[in-house]
Amino acid sequence: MDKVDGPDQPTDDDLILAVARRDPAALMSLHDRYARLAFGLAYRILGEAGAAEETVQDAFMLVWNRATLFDPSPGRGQGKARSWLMTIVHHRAIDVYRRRSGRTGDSQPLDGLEDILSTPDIWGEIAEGLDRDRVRAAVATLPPDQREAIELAYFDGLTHREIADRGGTPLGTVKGRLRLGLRKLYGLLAEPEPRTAPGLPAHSAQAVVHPPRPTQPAYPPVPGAPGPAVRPS
Amino acid sequence: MMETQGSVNTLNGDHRAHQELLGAYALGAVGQDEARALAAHVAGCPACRAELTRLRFAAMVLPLTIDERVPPPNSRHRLEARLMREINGPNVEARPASPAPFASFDSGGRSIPPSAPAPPVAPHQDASPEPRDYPTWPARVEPVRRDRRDRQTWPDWPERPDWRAQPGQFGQPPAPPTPPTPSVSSVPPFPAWPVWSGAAAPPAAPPTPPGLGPGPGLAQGPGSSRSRRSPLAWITAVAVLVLVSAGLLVWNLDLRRDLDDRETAETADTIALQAAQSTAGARATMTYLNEADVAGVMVIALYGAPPPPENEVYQLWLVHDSVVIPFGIFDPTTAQCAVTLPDPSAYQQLVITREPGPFGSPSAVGPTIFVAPLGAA
Repeated sequence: MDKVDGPDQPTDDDLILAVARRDPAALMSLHDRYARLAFGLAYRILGEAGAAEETVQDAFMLVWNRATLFDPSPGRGQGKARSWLMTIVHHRAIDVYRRRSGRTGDSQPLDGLEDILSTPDIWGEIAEGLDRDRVRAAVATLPPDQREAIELAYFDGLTHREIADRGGTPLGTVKGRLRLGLRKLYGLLAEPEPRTAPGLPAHSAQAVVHPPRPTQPAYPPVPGAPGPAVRPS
Repeated sequence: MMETQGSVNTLNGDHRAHQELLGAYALGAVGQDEARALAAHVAGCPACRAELTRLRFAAMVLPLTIDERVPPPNSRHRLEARLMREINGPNVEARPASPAPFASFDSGGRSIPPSAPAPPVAPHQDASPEPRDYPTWPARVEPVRRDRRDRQTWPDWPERPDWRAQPGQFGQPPAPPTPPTPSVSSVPPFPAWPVWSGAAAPPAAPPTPPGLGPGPGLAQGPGSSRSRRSPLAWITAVAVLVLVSAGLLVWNLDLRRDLDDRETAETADTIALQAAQSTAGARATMTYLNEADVAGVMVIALYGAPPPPENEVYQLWLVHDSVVIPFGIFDPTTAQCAVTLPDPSAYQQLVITREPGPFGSPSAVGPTIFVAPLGAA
């Protein structure tokens, strides 16, 4: 979802830089562009509309107060600003989820967000033009156990020990699944042409196809999570 | 030699142990002690730092696997209000009074240099051409037009006497015994809908008009006493009283005409909800937003209720087929809740309860504050 919509439209980078200059209109424009994606992510993690909305608002206020950490160089890939914003939303949502579930005791602290956001070499890796279909296709190629482990960690906020306990899986196996899954995902997405990615086995590169966009999300909703209120017509 | 080899093996073992955890670390899925140890190791290990960068990249694209979801209709307004409070302080709800001294974007998305006078913040003018499928707040700051009595800010929460005739008062029939309401869904629906507030405009409490207050002749001075008053003084006092009363009557009639005119012109889109149940004099209005871009959006405003306790909020519910559906949280600063409601008559009741904050409750479990029947009985 590239948000450079026209020659006269500000890019996402422009908007975040304007937010850093304390421009409230720029923040609201950023909200208009990404409110639905941010709300979808927060809702996926929290499973409740009110909490998700509050989390998204907290995240945008964090953007308002931390926009100076955003480094637009090099390049002007739109995925960079989007991923930056979604990282904030994710951290905030997981933080809320852990606090609400009383699992803050031994969880990895998320207060290192500023370090992540201000580290330029991370965001410099974001490939320009990375879109939703390509990410979904790449995730779909992961082995199910790796994909499930990543989902439990990223969207359900579980630690690797909790994942191991839940599935009765050895701890080393879970650590390996998380690491190998992310490494494979990086290999599939980091390069402009996945089939030329160095270091990948031939079958991995060939497995990267771009199927039609699935009708169902790659990660189904949490079983039992409350759905949106169905309003009668 | 043996000791050196052992140290190298230990270092390699630590490196491997840390390296195995990098995936979990990139996903935020390690314990606190492990996170601290990993951070220290990564800071001094270029190989692990490089791999962590790649793994974090992979983690950061995961949100793209999620389907977008339309946020609640009032979320944009709430963020805007929160932003304005952040900028202007907690007591200011409106946009900045003066143009911001920083760069902004006009409606076409063109950047305005900081040196140029920036236009007032116009967040309702979407800089993005992408069509939005959720309504935006109207351009004006105060969408709900209230009658004069209710033009007050939420934080004050002044308790005003209910202007309506209470059961048993002013010749009203005594109130029937209120049935117990263990749950909101058990409140019997009322078919009346809607009830226009204009037909029952609250009589304003007659304030003292300027220049017509009690004159000095009526005040008892320090040395005055009833026995010292002459008949002339009594006649004068009665005359002044008659004049004051006549002035008040004329002024009040004029004021009522003025109020009626204003309410007819300004609040034609606001209705007062007839309460089937009300706690502590709580009242509510429903305002249709007539602007084309917010068609179907209504603002429910709550009046007269005490401020919710800390860590609690007022929550709006609508009842349809005896199912209580959560519709939103009242903004704590405006006591308003905007909802997308094209056809309110499709619902049986509107219910406001007090629930745990800040997100409310998935089901109505808190005390009922206000219940009003809607169209679907």
